[in-house]
Amino acid sequence: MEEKIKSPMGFILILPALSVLGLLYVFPLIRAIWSSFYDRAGNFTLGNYAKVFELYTRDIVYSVAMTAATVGVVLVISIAIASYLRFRDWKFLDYMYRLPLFIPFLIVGHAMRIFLAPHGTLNALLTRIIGVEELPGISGSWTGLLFSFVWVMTPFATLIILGAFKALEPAYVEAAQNLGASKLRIIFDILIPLSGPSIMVATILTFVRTISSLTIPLMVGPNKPNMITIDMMFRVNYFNDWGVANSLGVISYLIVMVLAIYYLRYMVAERGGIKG
Amino acid sequence: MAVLEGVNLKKYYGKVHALDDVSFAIEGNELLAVIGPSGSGKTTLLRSIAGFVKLDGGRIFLHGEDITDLAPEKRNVAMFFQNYALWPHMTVFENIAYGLKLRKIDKKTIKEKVEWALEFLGLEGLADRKPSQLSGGQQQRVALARAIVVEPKVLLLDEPLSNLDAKIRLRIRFELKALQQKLGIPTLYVTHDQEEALSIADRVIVMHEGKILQSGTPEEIYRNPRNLFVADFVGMNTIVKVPAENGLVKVGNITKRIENEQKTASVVIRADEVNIVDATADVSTKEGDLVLIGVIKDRLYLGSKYRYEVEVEDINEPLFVNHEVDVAPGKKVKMIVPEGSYFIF
Repeated sequence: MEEKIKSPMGFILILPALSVLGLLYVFPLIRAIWSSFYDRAGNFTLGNYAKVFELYTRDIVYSVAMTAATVGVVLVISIAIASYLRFRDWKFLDYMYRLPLFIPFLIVGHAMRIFLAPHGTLNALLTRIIGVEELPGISGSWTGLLFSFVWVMTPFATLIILGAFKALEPAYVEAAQNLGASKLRIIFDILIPLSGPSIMVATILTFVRTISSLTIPLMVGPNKPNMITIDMMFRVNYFNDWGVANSLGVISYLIVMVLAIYYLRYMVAERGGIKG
Repeated sequence: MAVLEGVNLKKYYGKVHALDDVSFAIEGNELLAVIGPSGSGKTTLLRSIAGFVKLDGGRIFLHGEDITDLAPEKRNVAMFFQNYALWPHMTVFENIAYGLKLRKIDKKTIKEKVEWALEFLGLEGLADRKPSQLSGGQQQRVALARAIVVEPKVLLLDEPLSNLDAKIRLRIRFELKALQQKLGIPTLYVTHDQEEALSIADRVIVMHEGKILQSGTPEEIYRNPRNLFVADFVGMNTIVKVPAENGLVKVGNITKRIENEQKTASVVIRADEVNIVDATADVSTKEGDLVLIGVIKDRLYLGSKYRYEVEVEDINEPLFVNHEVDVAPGKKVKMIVPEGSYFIF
């Protein structure tokens, strides 16, 4: 049955929320898209995008690849931790995996620089274990960045996935166990397929948070190639070039949109409607 | 040798004794029903056999092998879950085939076995459906198919009929009994529905507060309950308290000696087995029959019978009995309760 708004009261009630959304999200977004098609003189142009592809194609590919790699590693680790905690109650792990959630990105970036430096904590440990004198530091390389991203992003994804695993009807797991399924089989046959929507949410949120991250790539990442966010910052800080910066923004937005559309289609197919 | 045997099983949850020294055995291909009210420990017993509850004491033997410390996935006892626990992301075929796949059976044999199970349980044509596209009765049969197709050593049924509506439940009782006999799988059947247990089981165990109060054939449990709890738990009953003096209880024409030094005794009467006649009618009674004289206070029409509230001479509480004959309230009646249809504790 179609419901019609009979009084403006409902609209007035949601007006503050709508205004905030409009003012802080929709308006800047439209402005950014708009200004990506104009040059400094105020003329319509596709030049900004031409420049982006001329200068930053490699960075765009790098950003997507780095983000995808982060998502991949984060999912593997999160599912492993969530599976362990689904079957075993280990308080220490339960607290430890959440810890990075409470540490600001700037601190993480700084800590990672120290941890991953040529004579940093990681290498001090590795040289002792392997027995070599010198190892190259991975701070300032893509591996160091990947390591840092994974460190930062894993807790959030684990939180979502563990929540889904724990919310599953215990009888689903017990029924599989009863028929002879090992824990590993249960993870792949029961837990993961039945937590599909939550794993999808974890994937998308990790992707969005990674591709839009600035502090960590700035502090831990290599000088070349750069993440899109760093390019945007340079474009504005050093060239005062909002047009190209906005074009880069629009492109990263489009990348995320692809994922969002895939998610919506998945949800529709999965449950016959978008829920939760 | 017993197929499945539990010896002195103990499980404590804090101060609660979920299983308090419970011992039982399933012999041959029998269907053993465990009945009791909520919290009596029957589900804990079932889950401990499946390996989902870690026992605090006692041993479980399956064909003589000690399985007490074996992981659930290594026990080969198939459990039927009360809520069926069919995996929603798998089709009916995949649900039933899952246990076989885990046993690394070749695809052709799996297909044959699943098709056999589908046919055996009347589920032909539903193989490609998802559980959400099935009725409750169909889901129940798929869950059963999934359990029996792996040819388990023992079948554990946890309230298998409780999610079905009353009419279907009555029909399925027969089907389930026939099925179990046809398959010949020793079965442990947990239910809170005593009537269901009596009608379907070869033997019945009555549990209360973690203890087994009585075990025996359905007839033994029903006709010779060992204590007040069992007498009250099985059957449709009316219970009244009567005074006891020096170990003697007098009810109607019956005087019985009881062992305990209690001041009052309980009389349990099977409400459906009382014959109501006119107080003046000359009806022959057997020795041991309980005869009570009373006045009908009220009646309820139940369709096939009436339910009467009767005020009985020398008893302070009303009696609630059922009878198919219509008797008007206010009438003085004689109630004859045959021996074996009343118990004094």
